[in-house]
Amino acid sequence: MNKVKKMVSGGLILVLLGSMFLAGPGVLATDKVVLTYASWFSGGRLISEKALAEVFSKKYPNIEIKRIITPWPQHHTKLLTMVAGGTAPDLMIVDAYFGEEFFLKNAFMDLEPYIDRSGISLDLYFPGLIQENSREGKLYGIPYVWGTIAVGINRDLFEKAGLDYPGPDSNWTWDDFLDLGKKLTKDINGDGMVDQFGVTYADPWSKIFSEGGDIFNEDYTECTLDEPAAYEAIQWVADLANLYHVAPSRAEASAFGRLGADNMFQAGQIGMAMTWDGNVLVWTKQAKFDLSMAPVPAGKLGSIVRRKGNCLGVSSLAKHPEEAWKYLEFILSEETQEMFMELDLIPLLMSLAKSDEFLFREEPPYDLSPAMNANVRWIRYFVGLRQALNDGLDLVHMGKAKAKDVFQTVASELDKMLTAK
Amino acid sequence: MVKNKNKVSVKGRRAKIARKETLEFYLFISPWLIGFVLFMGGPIIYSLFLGFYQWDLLTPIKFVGLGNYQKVFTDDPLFWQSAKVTSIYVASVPLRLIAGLIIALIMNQKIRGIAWFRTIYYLPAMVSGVALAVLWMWLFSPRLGLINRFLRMIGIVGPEWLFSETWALPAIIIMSLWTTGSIAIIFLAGLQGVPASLYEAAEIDGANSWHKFLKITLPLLTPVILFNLIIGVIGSFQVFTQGYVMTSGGPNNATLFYVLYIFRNAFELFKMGYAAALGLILFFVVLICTLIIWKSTSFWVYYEEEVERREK
Repeated sequence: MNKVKKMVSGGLILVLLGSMFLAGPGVLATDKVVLTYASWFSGGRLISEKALAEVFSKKYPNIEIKRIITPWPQHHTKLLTMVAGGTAPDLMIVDAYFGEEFFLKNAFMDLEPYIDRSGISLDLYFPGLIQENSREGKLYGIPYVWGTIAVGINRDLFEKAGLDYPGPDSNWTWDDFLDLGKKLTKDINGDGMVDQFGVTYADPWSKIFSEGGDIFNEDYTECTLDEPAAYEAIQWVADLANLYHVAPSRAEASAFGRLGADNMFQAGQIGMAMTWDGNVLVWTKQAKFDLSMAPVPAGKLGSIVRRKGNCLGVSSLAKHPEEAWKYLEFILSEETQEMFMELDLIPLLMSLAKSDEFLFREEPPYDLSPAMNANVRWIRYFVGLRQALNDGLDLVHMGKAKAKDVFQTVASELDKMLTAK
Repeated sequence: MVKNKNKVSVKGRRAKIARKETLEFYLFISPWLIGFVLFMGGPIIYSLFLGFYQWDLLTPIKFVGLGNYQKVFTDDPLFWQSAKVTSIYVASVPLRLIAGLIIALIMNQKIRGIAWFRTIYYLPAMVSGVALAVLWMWLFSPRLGLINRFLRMIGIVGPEWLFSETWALPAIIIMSLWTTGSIAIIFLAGLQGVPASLYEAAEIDGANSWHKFLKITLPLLTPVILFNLIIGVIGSFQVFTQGYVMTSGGPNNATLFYVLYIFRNAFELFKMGYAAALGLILFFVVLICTLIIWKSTSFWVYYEEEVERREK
């Protein structure tokens, strides 16, 4: 090889080698702060989020919010990896199902000092939800996204079938729910396949509560899912799809994606959807049918409903904790909470969430009081609880075994986990 | 004759050139070499040792000796389940070889436009893992998927495929038969290496197509079959994307592939040491399988050059 060729190729190799080390982040010459914010929000929810972020940047022009959006199934694994790797984002939201894992790893910064400094009174916000995110006097995050289970009603399908839909004050029971479900399940084009289902799903935990059962006993020392009130409720919910066929089975709903049944409801193929009230609210943005809300049906003890929050907090490794706190302060402020109502988000401020202005409206979903005035209970999730419960539910829904047997095993597993804590 | 002006001997000059060329060699492969050591070789050796520790990335690392291995063999039913699932998948490699061979035989015809057919049959092999998985998830969808629709047309109620414990793994195996393009191409090259004179000689002796295939084609293809078998076996031990994207290991762990189980232990349960131990076990299993196949070659693989050598 001649000298020139050698020098050129040598130079290229050096460039290749060098580029491996120089591909780092650029240095910004401005003093603009970029906050990374990891969440799973998409669709209608994301539109509301972006609207909030716009108002925030008008207030604080030097702070920019950069979103990291991961679909819900991968979001928490990805976050845990980021936390473990030391690259956690400034702001992150974690579902209540997984909060404990993050709290145990000290992934969130304690917000108490910031709350005290700012003079915000946490009693004005939903107390049960604040409790969810507190451990040993430290507050790890605000319950930004939260919800209560309610029933979404497709009024058009009810009218077509000549049925009366349950209203916001209705005292209907689980049997009524099943009955209406049967009447709304139809094979419209006669091809042997059901085209319209009566219901999407029933929340087994809400049913268990309403029939007098619970997941754990009073002092959290024993799992009570092996009692009839619990496993009979779980079996009833699985039977909706497997026995009565008023709900699509998991396989049938899978064609519509992960939350297939909810997507089928949004597409107008199911009459009633038991889901989070926040979903019902968000779906009104894009629903092509008349959508209203009904309370969760009543069991022996009336209607008792599951409530759950999430934890939006500042990571303990955040590079800009002050600016991140400013975003949280902004969310909690009264002006932003009032904005929540226009953006179809459920306010965290009790006074606004229970106000007539928020609850009653001219257009769908008309009346949100079924969710807001419900009798609620929330489940305290610890590491491994959700997985154990879901594994049990999976077996019952697959029709492989009866809830009675499956949950004997689940209950003893959970007893072991409780004693290990 | 070249006058040696410098007082350096010819031998020394050659050594100098050799040394220079060696240096150039290392300089040229340095980008790849650094990448390999940093991202593959180093981590492999690291995980060898990691198997003897317990570590969840946040709490301090703890030495547990053979503790991980003990747990794997005595206290982990999912290990046996994932071993079973992966073994079934590996056992389906012959199916893939047969499918590839059939396609190669079809592609070996001397008809017009055969080049187009070869392209079409090879295209599926070029679709990348996740895209392929999503495509087949749609095909297998129990309600809307093409496969069940087609079955309904001929009067059969199709199974729930990826949602059925018995059909999920067969579904993934069926999917793997679609991408046999790369295996087929290699078989095609092998088929074209068979001398036509052998076929002519056989025809003169009265052999029909079946005889020709069994006595000429197959034996001469055995080196190619060996290659595809080893590559296929090693590859199928590593199956991951289908399990992760299509079924998440379900339903009820029916498609919990071994590498998926390692991934879960490492990145969802943060049991790094345990996952590393599982990885080392896989390494040995693949090594043993490959050695067994290799040792068996003297019984069934026919190399032309070998026979010629023996006859000389």
